[in-house]
Amino acid sequence: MNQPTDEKRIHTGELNRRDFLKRVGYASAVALAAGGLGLAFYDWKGPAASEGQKALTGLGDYTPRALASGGAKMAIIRGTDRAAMFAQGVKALGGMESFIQKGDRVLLKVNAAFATPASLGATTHPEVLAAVAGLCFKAGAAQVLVTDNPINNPDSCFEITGLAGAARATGARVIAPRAALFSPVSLPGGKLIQNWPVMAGVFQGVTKVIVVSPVKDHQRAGASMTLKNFYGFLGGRRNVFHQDINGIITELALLLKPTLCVLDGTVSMMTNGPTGGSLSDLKDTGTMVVSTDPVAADAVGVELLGRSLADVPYILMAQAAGAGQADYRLLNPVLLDTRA
Amino acid sequence: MARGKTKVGTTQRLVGYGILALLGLIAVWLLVQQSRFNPAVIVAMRAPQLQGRPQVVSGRALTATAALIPEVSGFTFLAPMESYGPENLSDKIDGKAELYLPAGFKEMSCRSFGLGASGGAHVEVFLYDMGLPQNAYAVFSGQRRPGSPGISLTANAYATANALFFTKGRFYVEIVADRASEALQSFLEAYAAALLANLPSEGETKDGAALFPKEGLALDSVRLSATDAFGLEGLNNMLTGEYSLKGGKATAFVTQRDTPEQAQAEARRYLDFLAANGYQKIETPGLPGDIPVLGLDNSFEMVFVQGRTLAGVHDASSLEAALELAAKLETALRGSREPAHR
Amino acid sequence: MRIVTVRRLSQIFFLAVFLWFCITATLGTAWWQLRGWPINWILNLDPLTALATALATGTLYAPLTWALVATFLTLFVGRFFCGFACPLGTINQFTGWLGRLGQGPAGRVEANRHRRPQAWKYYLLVFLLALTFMGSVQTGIFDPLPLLHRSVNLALFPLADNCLGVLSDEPRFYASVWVIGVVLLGVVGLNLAWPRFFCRFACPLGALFGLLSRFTPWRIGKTADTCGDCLICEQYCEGACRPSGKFIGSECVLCFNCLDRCPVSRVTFAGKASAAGEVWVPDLSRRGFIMAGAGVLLASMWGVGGLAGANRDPSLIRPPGALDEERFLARCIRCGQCMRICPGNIIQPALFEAGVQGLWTPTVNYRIGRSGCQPNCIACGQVCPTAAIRPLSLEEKQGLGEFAAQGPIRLGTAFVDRGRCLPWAMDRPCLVCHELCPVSPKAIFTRTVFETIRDGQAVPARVQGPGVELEAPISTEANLANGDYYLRSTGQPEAALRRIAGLAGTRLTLERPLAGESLPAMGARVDIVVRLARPFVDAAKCIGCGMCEHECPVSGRRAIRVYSENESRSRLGRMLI
Repeated sequence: MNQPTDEKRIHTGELNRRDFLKRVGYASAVALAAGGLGLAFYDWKGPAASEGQKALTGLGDYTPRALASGGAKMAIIRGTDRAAMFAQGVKALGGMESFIQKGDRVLLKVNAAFATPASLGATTHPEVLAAVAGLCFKAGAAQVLVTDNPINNPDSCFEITGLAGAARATGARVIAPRAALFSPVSLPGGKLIQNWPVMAGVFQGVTKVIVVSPVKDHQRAGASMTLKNFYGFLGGRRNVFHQDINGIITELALLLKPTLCVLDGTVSMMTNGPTGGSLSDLKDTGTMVVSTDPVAADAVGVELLGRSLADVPYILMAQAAGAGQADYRLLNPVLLDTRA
Repeated sequence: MARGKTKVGTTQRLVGYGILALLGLIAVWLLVQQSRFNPAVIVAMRAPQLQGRPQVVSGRALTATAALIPEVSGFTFLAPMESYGPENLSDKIDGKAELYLPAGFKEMSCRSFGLGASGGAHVEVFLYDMGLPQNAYAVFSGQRRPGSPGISLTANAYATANALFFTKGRFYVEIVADRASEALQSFLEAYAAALLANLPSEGETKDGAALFPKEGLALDSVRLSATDAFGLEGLNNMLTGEYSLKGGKATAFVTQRDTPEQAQAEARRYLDFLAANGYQKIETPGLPGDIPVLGLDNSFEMVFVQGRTLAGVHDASSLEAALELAAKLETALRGSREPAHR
Repeated sequence: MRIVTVRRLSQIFFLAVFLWFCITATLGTAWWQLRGWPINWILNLDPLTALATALATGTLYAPLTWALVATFLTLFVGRFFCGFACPLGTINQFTGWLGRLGQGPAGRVEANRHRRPQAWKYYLLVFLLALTFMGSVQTGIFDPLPLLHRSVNLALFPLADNCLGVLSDEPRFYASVWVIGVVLLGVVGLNLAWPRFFCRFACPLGALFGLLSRFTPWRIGKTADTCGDCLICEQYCEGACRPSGKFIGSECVLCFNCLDRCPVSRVTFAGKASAAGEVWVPDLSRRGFIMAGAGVLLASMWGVGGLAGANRDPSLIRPPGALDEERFLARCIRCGQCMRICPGNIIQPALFEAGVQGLWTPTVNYRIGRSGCQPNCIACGQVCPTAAIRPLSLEEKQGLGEFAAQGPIRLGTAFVDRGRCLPWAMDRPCLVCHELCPVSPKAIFTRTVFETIRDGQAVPARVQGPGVELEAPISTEANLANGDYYLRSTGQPEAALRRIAGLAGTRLTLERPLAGESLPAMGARVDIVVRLARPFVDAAKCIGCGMCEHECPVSGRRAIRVYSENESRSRLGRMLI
């Protein structure tokens, strides 16, 4: 190539040189960035067999701490007026203030499994929900949440059962299940609840949990009461657990320790559970249990259904696992009758 | 065109050589890499070695029979050792298990071998522990292939074109190849010898044929029925042999009981059984003794007792054949019977 | 040595290496088999695969770091890969050259004229990266390296296998592979009309390399703005990058034909801009990018009606070690390596079995091939370039050693179709599936029943020892003497069964005579019963290897079939607790 001979050529040459160096610089910078990103993303061992997700180990222990020692832990109330029965029962256990303090955020787990009217007894009766929610607010609860993961469409379940109406009337808020509320839970020592989606999101900020359940016959489990109501926290294709219904209920009993359990046996579903569908499936059993121990509450419910603990194996299994006391008489329950 | 004449610049030439050198390096690297085998290839190569070790399938611990199947040079393992007990024998031999199970079957081990020297023949060895020598003899004789020659391997042994069958003590052995050839036979016998060396020496069952009169006897027809001979439940340990006589065909049978009384009782039971099946007593004037003859259509049965021995003629095709065989059998038994009785 | 000669040698070298890798993608230790040949090396050099999987997964699988080498070199010299290495580029260049033989200068110049649609490949690249951003890696459909691997592995070599039987002693079968073949024919055939059609208009990898060449310090250029207008450079330009005029940097594939052919050596490869001016990329329209960006929307819509979730097809079985469907589709580049290496030939390219977004991804088809998934084989995961199928050890696949707790890798579960199964529906003994189940203890177990065969009642005229004379012959096609048939007194299910050993006309011979109480009374009837071992699947033991399905004698729709239920790779399919 000829030597540059005039100003313009020199100028061009310098421009070229400067441009070249600039481009070398830019290219190097991009190369460095690419290399850096490559290093940052570098994965020497390849993907894991399954996506690692942090699993929770349980839903929490909401056992009432302030409960007077020696005070009654369980009340069995006879009667027909659900609101009055609950009011008397909880009074016998030291009043709602023993369980709910000012500012508490209370989660009410109801059984809203089916979109059937309350009169068919397949779901928690709205009167009990209203009574419990009302007393919660009266005791100073800041917020009362009502939830379940029903089998039918959640919105129709809450509406048709009257639970949504009862919640609205008392100022409680219904939380219907949605994907974001579920996260994987692995129960330590559990065989079934391992990395399984559970509705843990509704427990966000919750300080007290009250389980409000009806008393029902259940084809697979023998009976559906308080502990079986916990099934409603499960997500995913939970029906695989029907292969070991007693095992899963036992594990569920360990997953959550509620503040209070209300088992409403005013009317019990004696046959064709858990759906029922006919008034002839129901029987006036005129009893409500208010208990801090879900296992003891269910033991009473079994008697209302005219069955024995042998018919409902998960109750003794839950006791053996440490979830509560199946021989409820040992808890010296307070016996009341609102009709007296 | 100008390009042929264009002089190639030094830079271009050097860059070109540089690139070629790089390609050469890549080629060398590839050649080095190919010698470091992919894990998939290593696994594929390892598989035969895995099979080389005696393994036991179906979760059973290495069984006694499995330990007796020898490794013989020239025979390469094709599959792991398999062992079966009474509960799963039918997994291996299906319905044939019903032959072994009533005869006191204890366990069986089997293994497949390849015989490289014989054109890659496949050989499978079955070793059955039948518990007692007579049980082994029962399954041996019960499935003896007609027309196959006896061999001198053991007291009870015969060969077919592609297989050897024999008993030793309580063991029954089958060595079966997937093809037939002269050369193969000698390999099978060599294997049999190695296997026999592993088997403990214990009481042998005498060749049952010795009890029977020789004349007219088809040697390979001698069988020991461990249970339910002739369909009569409880008629056990029955030795039978088939005869072709002048008067026709007939089967001789011999069994022993612990006492003469038991033998008599068994004979009566058998006669009752025949009567229940419609056999009629046939008057045979001039027959010595009180040996009864029963017949149905053209089938004749005779039963007699000598001391502890119950014997007779079964399914003779004519009365003459029945009488002839009964006479011969009685003579033969009298010659061999223990003097203590009678 | 002239640089174009070096380029041609390099192209031949890489094409040969590529073909060699395809040949050696056969499991074995012979010199022409897999051994340790790094058969994924060319795929690993692919920055598009690296970028796409990194965007979709947030990780760069270790072997893909090779792509950085190609990236670095491109940053400094431009699309060397297209001109010197890409095997599909070489094939395109060669067929384009064939198509131009005998063509005059004007035609050649016209063929290599820069065309606006060369911008399409950039839109395609953006479209694919947009999909990738949404977790769906579709680059492999258009990326030339997976494309050619797939085409040669599945369409071309099987032709050779079938004719010559060199690489595989049995013909290889690949479902609907003609579609893959037609795509290759199209890509190659279009070169006859427009040289390097695919490279110029469609190749997303070329587009990525083009974008990476933004700052190349060295590039093609002219030393003077004006020249004799001979356009010889344009006649031989592979990239259609306008070397005679305003040079388009991203389109140059570094063929160096212009530099080599210029009669006055006015074309250089130098560290300065062309005297005739240069631009980085062709005219790209905003409209094109907006349309390409719609890929985000498309992937989102796939998510709405996705096949990975509740609506998944249970007959979609992925190879052992495959990730769960979502993560799988974030990695698979459809190169067909797993399908080529599978010694059973059961890994097949999906057409629409895995949804549109799963086109040509590997599925397992137990109806074809040589056997089910062999328990002693880990080949597919070991050759997967992106770990869409994880490289399993034999221990992990079989659930041994440290993997004992999680058990063997399950591909699914076998289900017995009782309406088609011979012993269940046809009264025919079979037991093939049970025999072939490789799991120990077997996942397939049987329950034995004795069923009276059709028209299987008869009246014995005479019973004598093992012989039973019937009043009338039994009407059946089955061979009653084959050991599976028995005789039993009618109405006495507990009575002793006697195996039928022979049948001649009306005379049955039993293996053992009827005894005592099992003797039929005069005129009473007897049943001819068949012994049936009916198969059941122990789902807790079944690994879904498909040996049973492969061997089931009901050859069309098998009477035992594997579905993805309980497959290890996803929790969605969990069936047992």
